[in-house]
Amino acid sequence: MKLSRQLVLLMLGVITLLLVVSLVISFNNTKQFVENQMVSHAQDAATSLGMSASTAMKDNDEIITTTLVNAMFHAGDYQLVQVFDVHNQLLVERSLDVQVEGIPRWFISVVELELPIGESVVMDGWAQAGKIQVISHPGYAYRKLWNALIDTFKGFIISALLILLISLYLLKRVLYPLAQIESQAIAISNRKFDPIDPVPETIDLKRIVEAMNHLAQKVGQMLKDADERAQQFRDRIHRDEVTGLSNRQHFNEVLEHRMMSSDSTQHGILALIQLYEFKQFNDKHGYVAGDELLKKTAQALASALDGMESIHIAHLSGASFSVFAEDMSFVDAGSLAKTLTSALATLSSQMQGFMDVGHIGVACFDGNQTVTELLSMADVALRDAQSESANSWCIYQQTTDDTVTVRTASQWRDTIESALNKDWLVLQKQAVFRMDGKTILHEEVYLRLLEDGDKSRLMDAGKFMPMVQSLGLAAMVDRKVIEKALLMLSEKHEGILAVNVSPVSLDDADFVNWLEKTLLDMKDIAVKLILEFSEYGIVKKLDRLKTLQQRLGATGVQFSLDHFGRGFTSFAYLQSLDLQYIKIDGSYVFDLKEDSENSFYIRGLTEIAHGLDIVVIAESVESQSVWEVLPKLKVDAGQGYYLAKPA
Amino acid sequence: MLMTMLLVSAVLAEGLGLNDKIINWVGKKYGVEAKQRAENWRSLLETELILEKDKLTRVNNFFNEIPYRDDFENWDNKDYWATPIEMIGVNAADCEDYAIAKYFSLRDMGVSSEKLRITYVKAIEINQAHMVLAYYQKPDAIPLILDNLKPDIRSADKRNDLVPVYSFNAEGLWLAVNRGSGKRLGNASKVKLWSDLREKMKKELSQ
Repeated sequence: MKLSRQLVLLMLGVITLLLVVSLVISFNNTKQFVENQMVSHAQDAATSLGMSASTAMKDNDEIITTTLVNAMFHAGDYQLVQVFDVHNQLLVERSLDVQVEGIPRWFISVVELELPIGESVVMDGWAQAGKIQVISHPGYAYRKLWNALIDTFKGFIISALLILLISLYLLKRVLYPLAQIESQAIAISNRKFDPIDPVPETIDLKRIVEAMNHLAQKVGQMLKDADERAQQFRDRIHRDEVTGLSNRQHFNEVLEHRMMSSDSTQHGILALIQLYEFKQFNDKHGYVAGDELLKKTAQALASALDGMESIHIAHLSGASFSVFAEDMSFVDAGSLAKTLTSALATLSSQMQGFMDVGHIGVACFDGNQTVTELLSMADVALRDAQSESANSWCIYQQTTDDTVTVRTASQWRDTIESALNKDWLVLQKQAVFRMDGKTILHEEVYLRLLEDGDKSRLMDAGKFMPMVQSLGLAAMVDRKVIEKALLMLSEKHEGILAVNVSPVSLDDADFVNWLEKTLLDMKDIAVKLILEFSEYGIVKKLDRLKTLQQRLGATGVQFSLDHFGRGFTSFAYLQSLDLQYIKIDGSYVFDLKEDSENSFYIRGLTEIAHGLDIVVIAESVESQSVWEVLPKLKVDAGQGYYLAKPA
Repeated sequence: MLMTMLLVSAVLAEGLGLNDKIINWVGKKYGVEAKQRAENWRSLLETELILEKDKLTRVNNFFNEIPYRDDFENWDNKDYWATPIEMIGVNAADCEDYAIAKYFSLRDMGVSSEKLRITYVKAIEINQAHMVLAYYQKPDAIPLILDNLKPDIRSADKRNDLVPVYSFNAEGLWLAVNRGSGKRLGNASKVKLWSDLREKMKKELSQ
């Protein structure tokens, strides 16, 4: 039972008790009062009748006596009037039943009024001629008692109602902080740690509220600390201390994953950048200035590439930097090289006399090279550049014939638009398994393009999605994919489907409106849909995602981030999102070993995610050894070629 | 109701209950002579007398010794009913004081209330409203009059100087007063007088 209800019941009890007590007291007072009045009424009547009768007695006139009795009896309220002679013989008697109109019979039979006898003597000169007894009629008394009872009752009910209303209002005010504490507790379980303000004045509640505020602050701090520790740890193993960029090890992992992973990109440009005569610079100006130059170089590269998606910059060693642009193809190589060169040019003022800042070697990845091959291709290009001239760049030229059809941008547009119009886009599904290896958590949907409508020639998304995005067709394609997924779900699909959505599509108001309306119209199906965004793409559009989550809150659709950890972003934003899943980027999982640095990172990540009620899924599980390590790191589920291929 | 009856009869049975304490108080308040008068009153009440006629004579003579003075100069109140204790203390009385003092004394000495009536009369010689105590040997007898105007007790038919107006059944009023247990009873002025007297007696006797 609610506290407020108990208090109200208690109050009702007390009020009822007060009502009964005050009714009894007021009733008894009134009763005593009317009884006293009846005493004097009877005595007054007896005395005055005695005096009048004494005059009549002188003449011994019994008729006059009887008339006097009648007159008095009819004029007043009497129950009984009796006249006795001096020998106690009854001479005259008048009586009336007790009947009172408008007062219930039970009242008269329950309330017993004492009926006093008024007595007086009848004189005949000095001699006593007789006596008179008078009993007042109790009708007036009963009526007075009854009315008093009703009046008291009415008055009390009105004031009781008034008291009750006022106390209910006060109670609600006093107990308001309890409701606040309740919502704060719910907020804490939803990872929101706002304190209750203002603190209530009632002492008991004040203490609870203060304790809750303290708890909220502590829990919030603990989560923040855990987040920071995990970030520090990740930074230590993956970042270069001087420049803050990825180190060689991490860059290699990224590169390897992007290039080897079956479901990933089929494009990419690798650029190697080497500062010229860095050793001499160090010798001349010292290591502090050398480190400073490396930092400036890192900043220059980062700011030159800022705004481009899927770019990885690393400081490999000494004077060597590298850039991997995974969504770019060979057509972009020249412009990338020029961008990097102008970035280096800004450094010449730093070089203090070294006019030759550095050189750039570029190699293009088209899905047919290994990491080692690509690196050596870039290295060859770098050597060419160094031998060419100061501050020059060079692109590695493929000597063998390319088997992949090379298309221009307008050809891509034709291919994609005709695929959209002719329904040459098809979906493949890859199951995400729980750690038991049998239960399917959900299936991720992959988009494939039928080249020229030929069902045997499936083109992977990694190959054409970069073009889709650069042609501004992302929202159209995403809409098509979601439509197809919803159709699958509504037709027969039992499980849950995760659909990849391009972060750029969130900029498209028409797309977002369409999504909200569509999902609201089919809520029973929307709950089986997961919208998946790449982490490195969405961190730049967090506000868009939050707005989307608010708008879709009523649809029951779920949210997931994939390729998690690819960007070096803080985990802090996780708290502000309402996520159900995160998928750890394949570069951490690809060749995962127990007790490796990546496993420490994953363990930290799962701890934080579980604190936020987020399910953690490992991407790119492609070997049994990796699959066996995952449970030890508390990962909830996995997907990859080892478990199931897209089909 | 039963309780009230018991209380009333207890008060009646105890009578006035004059004791040393009261008499000493009278001495302290009104002086040595007053104390002696109170002593005399107590010995009168304690005298064993068989004949009611003797009781009447003794009581009548005792109180008629106290000089008459009008209410007004004595108590600054036109209709003030003094208690017997006050009357003995100040050694002055009004006509109703005599009747009441005699009534209480006789009741204390065992005379039945049925035989006693307080009678309002007109005194012809002084042309004033007056009050006497009437004693009825039997209900239909001619009463004996105890009066301070004529100090000796005479039969009513020998009192041509008095015109009877009305008598009170003292016992009935006494009961009525006690039923009110000291509370003021509406507009009954007669009852109020008796009630005043009773209250004052109680107060003084308990001091």
